Amino acid sequence: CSLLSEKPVEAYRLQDMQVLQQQRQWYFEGRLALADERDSISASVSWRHRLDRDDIELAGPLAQGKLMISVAADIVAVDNGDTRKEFRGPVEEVLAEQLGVTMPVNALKYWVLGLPDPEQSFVEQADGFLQSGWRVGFREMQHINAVVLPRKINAEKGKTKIKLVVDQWDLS
Amino acid sequence: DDAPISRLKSFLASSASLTADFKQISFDKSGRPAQNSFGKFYLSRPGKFRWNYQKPFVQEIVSNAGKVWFYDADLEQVTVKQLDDSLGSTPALLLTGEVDIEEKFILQEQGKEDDGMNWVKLSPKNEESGFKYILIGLNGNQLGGMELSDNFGQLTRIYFSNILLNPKLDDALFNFKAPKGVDVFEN
Repeated sequence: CSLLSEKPVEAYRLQDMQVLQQQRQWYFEGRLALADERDSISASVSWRHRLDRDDIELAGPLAQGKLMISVAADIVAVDNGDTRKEFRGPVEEVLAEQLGVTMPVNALKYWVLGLPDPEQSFVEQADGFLQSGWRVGFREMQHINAVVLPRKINAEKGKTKIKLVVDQWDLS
Repeated sequence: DDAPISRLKSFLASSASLTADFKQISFDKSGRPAQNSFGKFYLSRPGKFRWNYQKPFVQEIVSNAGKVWFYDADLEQVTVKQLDDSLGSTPALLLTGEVDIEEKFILQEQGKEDDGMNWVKLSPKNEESGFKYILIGLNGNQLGGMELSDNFGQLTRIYFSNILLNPKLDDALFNFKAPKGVDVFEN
């Protein structure tokens, strides 16, 4: 018998995720922690991805301080319920200014599916990959119907740390 | 003075401490219940409270000495924030007597609802409180529930049960200690 213990199905394997390349739209609910040396946010998050648009809702405890962010091409809209502001420019920069912490949305929307951003190179690792200076690690996976999807994702780059727990996936 | 408003004020004045179980229901944009969470609530005047969310996941919110600790077990993260004004009008803060409700809120009696509770509406006088209004429900003289509308008009309702008024609470309950190995971020 092989001495190497069989990897539990819950372990991350890049090739398992390739099937999700064609996933045109998805939705998840979970919890997100963003922190760098300036500030930190811990929030509930819901994220709806469609072909050309991402709608992200962040809320603090007791649904306080809710923010609705929508990203389409390089237009970023941030709505706090009172005022809705639109910005044009690199998404990550706009959000760093509006949220006070780093949130690489364009790459994150692939990472949440367990995939590297197809427009950047990457180096595969045991539980994830290295990409554009980020160390992306999938600490826990989960079964949603017949598909294996991430449940706990960490991404670190220098002092910046992103942690995401996905509680509910909807691939329809 | 309308009975429910004066009953609310006397409840707030008479409860030096309190423990209760709570059920929290958040409603989606179309008003359908979206998510339920359950846990225990502890309060000790002035300024100390603790929400222990137990289901569906473990989170703790502790307020003490002008700070708020927010811990999420799955995220293995503790975020520590100052209890500033924008957070200051969180509902729990309201209950700890740290806030003089008439100075910070406009009070309006809403009457009795089918849940048998008399609701009082508190509209924040300070615009940036992140809330449009807070409703507090009273069962007779007893705290029964709370309802929060966020800036998008989405509702969160909290129902309290098994309320114990003025129990002896150990101070350690409000001295948050981060579990080993979690990230702690204070700003």
